[in-house]
Amino acid sequence: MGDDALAMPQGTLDLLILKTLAVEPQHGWAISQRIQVLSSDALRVQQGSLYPALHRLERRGWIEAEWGSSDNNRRAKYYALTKKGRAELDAQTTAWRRLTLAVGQVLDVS
Amino acid sequence: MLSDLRYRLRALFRRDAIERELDDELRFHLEAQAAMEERAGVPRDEALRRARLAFGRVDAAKEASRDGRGISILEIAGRDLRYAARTLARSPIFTSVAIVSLALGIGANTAMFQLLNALVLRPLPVSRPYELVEVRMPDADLDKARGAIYRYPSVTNGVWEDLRTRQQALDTFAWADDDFNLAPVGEVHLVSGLFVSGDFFPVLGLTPAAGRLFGPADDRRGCGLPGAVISHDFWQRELGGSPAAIGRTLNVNARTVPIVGVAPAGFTGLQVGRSFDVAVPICAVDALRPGERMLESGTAWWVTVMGRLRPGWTRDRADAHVRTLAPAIFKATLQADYPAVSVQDYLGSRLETLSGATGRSGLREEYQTPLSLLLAMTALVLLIACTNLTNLMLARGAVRQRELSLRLALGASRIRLVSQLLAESVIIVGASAAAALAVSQLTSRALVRLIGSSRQPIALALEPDWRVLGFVAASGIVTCLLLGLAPALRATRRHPGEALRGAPRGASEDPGGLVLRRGLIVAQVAISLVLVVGALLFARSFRNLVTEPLGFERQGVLVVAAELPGPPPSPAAMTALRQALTAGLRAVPGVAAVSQTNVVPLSGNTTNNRIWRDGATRAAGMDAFFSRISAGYLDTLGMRLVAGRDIAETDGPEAPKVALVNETFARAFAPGGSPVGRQFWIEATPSSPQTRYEIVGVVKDAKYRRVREAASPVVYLALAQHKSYGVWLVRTTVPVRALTETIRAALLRVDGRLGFVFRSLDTSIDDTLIRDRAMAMLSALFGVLAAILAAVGLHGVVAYAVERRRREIGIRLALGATRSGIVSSVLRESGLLVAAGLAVGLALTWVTTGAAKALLFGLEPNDATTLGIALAGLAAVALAASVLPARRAARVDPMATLRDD
Repeated sequence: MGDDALAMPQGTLDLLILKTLAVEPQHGWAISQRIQVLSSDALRVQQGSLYPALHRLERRGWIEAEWGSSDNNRRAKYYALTKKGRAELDAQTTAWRRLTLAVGQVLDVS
Repeated sequence: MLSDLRYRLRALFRRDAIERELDDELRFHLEAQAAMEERAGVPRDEALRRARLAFGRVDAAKEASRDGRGISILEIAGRDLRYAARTLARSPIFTSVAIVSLALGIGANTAMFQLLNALVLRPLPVSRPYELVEVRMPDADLDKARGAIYRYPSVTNGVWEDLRTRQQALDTFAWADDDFNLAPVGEVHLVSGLFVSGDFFPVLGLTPAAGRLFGPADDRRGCGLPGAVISHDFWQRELGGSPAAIGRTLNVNARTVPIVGVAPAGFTGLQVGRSFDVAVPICAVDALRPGERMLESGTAWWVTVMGRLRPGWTRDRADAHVRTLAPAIFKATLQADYPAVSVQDYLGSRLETLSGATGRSGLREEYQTPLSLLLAMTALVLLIACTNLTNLMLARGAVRQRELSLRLALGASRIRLVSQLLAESVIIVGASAAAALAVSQLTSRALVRLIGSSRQPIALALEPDWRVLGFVAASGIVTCLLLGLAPALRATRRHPGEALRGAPRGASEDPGGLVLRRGLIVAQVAISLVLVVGALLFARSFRNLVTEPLGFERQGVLVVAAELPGPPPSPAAMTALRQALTAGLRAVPGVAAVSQTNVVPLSGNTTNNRIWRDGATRAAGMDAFFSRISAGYLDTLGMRLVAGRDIAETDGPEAPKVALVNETFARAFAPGGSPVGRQFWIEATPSSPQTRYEIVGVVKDAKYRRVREAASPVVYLALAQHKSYGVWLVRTTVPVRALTETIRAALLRVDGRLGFVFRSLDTSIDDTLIRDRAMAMLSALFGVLAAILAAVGLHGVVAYAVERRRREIGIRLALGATRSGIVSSVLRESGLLVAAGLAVGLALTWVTTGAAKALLFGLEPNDATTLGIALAGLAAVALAASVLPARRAARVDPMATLRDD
């Protein structure tokens, strides 16, 4: 893992996955790449922890899985956001923004 | 939530598929990562390596994914059960012994509970049974009622009709049971009959299985015999369940009646234990019992009143309502012919309500206590069987000691190990519980057949309902815990280090829990003593009942009841008929004596009244039982005359009124002297005025109502001096069975239309003791079983102790101990155990046998002889059980044991 990769607070992995899937259904590898790319390489998901998170999210009904074929015609498991997941994404995003705003305000006080 | 559940279920049932999917998913990821590296120019092998590195630990990811699935507990439980099943399969003898003995134990227990459930707990199969209420007179008031009381409790038809119109709390209905004769002529064919009021079926919410049920329009005075409703059982049994049964006529009490409908399946009436066959409206009683005026009579007590609470009424409110109405009801229904001396009692009669959800049952009163006792007994037998199995499981635990200690040392959690060991108990108990249901079905039905006599077959709803299933489940859980917990806790308790060090050497080691096992033996012996004492008590009580002198000769006497169908003929014709029948019976070869009576001893029929000395006041008198007899009664029954003379043919309707009395009466009436020649008055009854009688003879006491009852004062009056009729008692010199044909022919020769029934007096008396016989047999069975189980357990423990002390015994023998010395030391040790068990058992017996007091006859619960026999018996059995292992101890070869070290 890159030494300068940021340590992610608990629970944010879920939020990132949901956001990534908000655009279109993707499989696990693509999700990890996407997060890396979108964050300009600052966030590197510990790839091993991705799958437990995905299965957890599936269990809670926020994403659903379907087997399909990838670009090079291999069998891959695609995850998509469900309606519940979309609502959860909105809720968690709002909560995150509020939190960071509040923390930022405190830190900006010199 | 739902998606979670669906996910978990899918994860549970398609585990393999999901594992494969996970593999595929992770492999795809690694491939994709490797492909990305390859596109950057890295060679394939290096790319794969980097991909794996980037991923992290694949196994951890898989494990974490699996945990995320959240099905671990179920998976683990399933794994435990499968493993336990394999372990049990490896020792088939133990497993089958365990399952069979538990199946029998739980099954017997459940059978008792099933009977109790059917008799006491189960509500009637009608709609909303908990709204049903019974309205009755308290027994104390019914005891003072005059006239004929056909059943307890009941009211007269007049009271029923008045109550129905006056009260507002209930939708009322009434019923009464009776025996109906379906045979047009000849020997009667009795079936269970039911009189029902018009509202009976509608209020109970029943719908017919075929045809129609009675409604209010069917129950009107003067209805004759409009139709009959038959029970579903009767329909299937006698008429093949064919739809053509509707409209067919039945012959009931020599009248024909068409069948109008069939009651729903499962409804057998409101009397638990008795199933009805044919139902007719109450108004039909005039047709079926002609001349008895059951509807108009103010002294015929035969109707049971029940009702459903109307909306807004509670039982307490209804109770208060009914109580306030009682005086008005009895005032309105008092009739002119009610004996003046009892009018005040009648007017002061009260009414009360009782819950009617479980119906009425005389059977319940008789069997509730015995069944509860039997349930306790079977529970104790099950306990003993469990302790035996626990001992066995402790031994098995000892064998696996090393393996378990190793696992503990390696960090296994104790709870997990204990639950793994419990899984074995779960399987054993699960299999036994399933088998137990089958055992209990068979046993309970067999018991019901045992208790019912052919004259009165018992009908109980024995299908398992939620209560029975719950009972089996609860027994299973308790048994499981008892069985498995102690050995499991014990086996996982040991300090791992010691077990891993190797086989124990000193006598101080206790891997199999010898102390615990000894404690269990003491408990077993104690419980066995209680059961053996119980068995002996009931057996001796039954023997007392059977050998109790009755005061008359019960064998070789036939009871013959005969009557003409239809309305009773004139008194003159009746007398002529009866004389002809008596002569006809006397003429049968093999008949030694014929007489008549209106109260057959021990039949349950009683007549009682008040008498007082001539010259004294009624208040100074006493109550006595009555029986009307013909001349020759004393000879027929073999009763002894101790003073004066017997009733003679000359004591006819015109002659002075005479009476025989028994010794108890004589002692109370004329203490110290002879009552012969003295006179007394008998209180007026609805059918005869106050009359004075002269005592002409004294007879030895004979049982009147029940074998159990001590002697009461009995007065024997002459049948001919009163307009009552009775049955014939026929004493035969040859076995009764040989004569039934000739007697039947003789009766029919007198009048071909006669309906008659005969039964043996001997058998009838035996039937009254059915309950006691059943108790004696069953408690004996359980006592024997308990003793055997305790002996087996004791044998096991002693053998185990001997086995463990092999080395020590070998050394002692080598050092010069005698073989008989070894034997006696083993016996001494086991003797101490048994003595401790018997001591605890005595204390337990003291405390528990009081519960059986009401059922015993002729002995007290703490009878010393019984206790002595039980103690001696169990001690002997225990001795026998210990002798085998003791002798094996003596045969230990000292050289072999020392060499084995």
